[in-house]
Amino acid sequence: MTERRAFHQEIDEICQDIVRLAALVTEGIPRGTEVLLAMDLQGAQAIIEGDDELDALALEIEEHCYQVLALQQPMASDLRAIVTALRLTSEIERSGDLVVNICKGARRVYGAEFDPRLRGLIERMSEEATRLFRLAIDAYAEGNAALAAALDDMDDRLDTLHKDFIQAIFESHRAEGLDLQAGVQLALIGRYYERIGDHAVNIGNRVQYMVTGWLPEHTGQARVQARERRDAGQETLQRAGGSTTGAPTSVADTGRPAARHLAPAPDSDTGG
Amino acid sequence: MADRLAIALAAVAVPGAVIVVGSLSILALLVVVLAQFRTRRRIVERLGRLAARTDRDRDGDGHGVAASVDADDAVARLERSVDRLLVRERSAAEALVRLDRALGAIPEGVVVTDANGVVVVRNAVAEHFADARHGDALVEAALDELVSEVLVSGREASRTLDLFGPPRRAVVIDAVPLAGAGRSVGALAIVSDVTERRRLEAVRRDFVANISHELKTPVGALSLLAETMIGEPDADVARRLAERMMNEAMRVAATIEDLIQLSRIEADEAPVREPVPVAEIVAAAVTRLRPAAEQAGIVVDVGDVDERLRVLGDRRQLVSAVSNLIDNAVKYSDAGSVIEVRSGTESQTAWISVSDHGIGIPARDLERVFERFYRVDVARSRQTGGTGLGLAIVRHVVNNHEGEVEVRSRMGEGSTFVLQFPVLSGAPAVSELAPTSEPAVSEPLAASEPLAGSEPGDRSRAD
Repeated sequence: MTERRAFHQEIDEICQDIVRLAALVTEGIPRGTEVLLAMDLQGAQAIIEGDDELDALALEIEEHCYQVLALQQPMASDLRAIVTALRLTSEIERSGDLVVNICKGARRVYGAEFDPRLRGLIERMSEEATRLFRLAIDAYAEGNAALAAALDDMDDRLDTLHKDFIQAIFESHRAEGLDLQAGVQLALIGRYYERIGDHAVNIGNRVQYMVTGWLPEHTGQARVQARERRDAGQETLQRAGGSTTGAPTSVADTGRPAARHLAPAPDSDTGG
Repeated sequence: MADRLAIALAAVAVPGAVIVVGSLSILALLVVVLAQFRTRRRIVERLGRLAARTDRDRDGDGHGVAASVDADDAVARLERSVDRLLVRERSAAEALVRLDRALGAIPEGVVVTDANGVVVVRNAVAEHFADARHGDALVEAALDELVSEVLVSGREASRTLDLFGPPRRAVVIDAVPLAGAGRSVGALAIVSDVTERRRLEAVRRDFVANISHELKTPVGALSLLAETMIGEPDADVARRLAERMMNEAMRVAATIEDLIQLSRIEADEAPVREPVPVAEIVAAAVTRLRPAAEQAGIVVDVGDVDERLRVLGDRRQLVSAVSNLIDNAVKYSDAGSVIEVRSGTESQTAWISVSDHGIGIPARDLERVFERFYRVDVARSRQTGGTGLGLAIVRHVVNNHEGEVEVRSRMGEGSTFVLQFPVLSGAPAVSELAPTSEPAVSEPLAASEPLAGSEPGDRSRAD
């Protein structure tokens, strides 16, 4: 029994480390934007160097996951938690790289003047990317599948901003003679923000998998089957729960923290 | 013969047996009594020692206290001791609660760990960082790191974290090792939010630099121009120089004028309080700025203003606040754009908003634009000829009127400033504000007069 509790402590630790890893990115996005808008070369260097710390923590988490997989042979939700942690680590690490890319882009456009509209759009893309990333991590920490599922639609706003930004670069090039090189670099920077949003959506997908057990790749047919299987199981447990329409989100609506969701099977509860 | 012998034997044996049995039982009784006595004495002795020990605990050293041999005395002493201990325990529990509350009341996060770095005490603020996400998760991570560092090195350490939020914050973590009897017993970490302190430092630092710059630059230019003019034989050139001197002089004059106005508003904490119709404030401000707007090719669009809407305050200050906002909007808009001036009410506040479609304010400068002489873009504001005090005046006027000023802005899209004041409008608001006033005073215009006299005191107390 003590071994089992230690195991769940380890899963909690991994969860906490992922949240810390992600915090480095959620802090990095607005920081990188400020570096870009203020043309702060020193700040850019600091962020680029700071990425090493992020990589090191990501590697540490990955090794921790392998260790748990090899030594504890987790099953069911525990297994999903570990696998999700592995996938999340790479998504977050990649997002951190994108922040570094923004800073490198800032160095490449150094000295170029861009008009207030472009600056405003950069600010907005940054805010939107930060918001999405925060929500993705909230969904993970709370085990909230409904929030995780909503991220995809929320990302539309960032995509629209990205399109507006590209359009604004064209207009600025035409009207105020924005340097072509700077224009291309800015377009790439816009793309980095947009990609961060995509990673947030990916995190949402993996969180959905962690909570519900459905792979996001599951298509309608597979989902229906999975739902039927689960409902059949649930009906034997509780006959009172009649509605099946809300089934996909019902797991998420409990809003339990991830750590608790991964809590030991009832047997260890009685032991504690 | 044999019979007699038997009788004689019996006569001897019976009492003998009685004697033997009797003495045996007496012996047994003696033994039991003795044993009981010894047990009792042992108990009494132990009670006495216990009582002496508890007395010693109370006195600090118990040299004068002898172990009691009297059972009653020992028990009485023990009873007293138990009572004393109960009292002591209660006060200890109270002290613990007091300390806990004291820790909870500290605005900084306080964390105490044992020698292994395991958290033993965490106050309410620090609790917030445990299991935190986003920026707070980084605070907790830094705290863990710092504590283990301090436990290893035995020297205090400190770290500053700049969090970009939103909202932006600066957090300082201080950790000190706790040593007792020559060995480490743990560590104490304090997390303080220094955002406000840093902001005030920046305000003070920049203000001193800016004010000397604002006043010295034109004065320096004046003296240079005057020097050039002295040796200038050409009347045309001298004339041009004189024109430039006038411009510079006007700039210093404008700065000084604004500084004086600002000081006056600042000093005037309780300005005249009369009900001023919002329509009049807006009309006066727009009239003042209309020529400048027309010259810049900018349209000032004033929306419908409810004639009954009034705010309580100093008419001159209120007009100056709104005209400063319109002035800024004109300065930072391009020719052909529209400035919208709107007003309305929301529950107990009246609001006036000024929106432009100009260059906008960067997010990082938004919270600083109300500072004196703060300039987002130094080159641009020089060119527009502002003194850098307009928004500072606005903020002070608003503070004097228990109002609020809010700014929303996006670079390239424009800015919106909203002034909010406690409402004083027509009939409905009057009856809300003064429910006790006589029913006879129901006419809105008539109601505003007596209300003007009574309101200020009431309001300042209510706020």
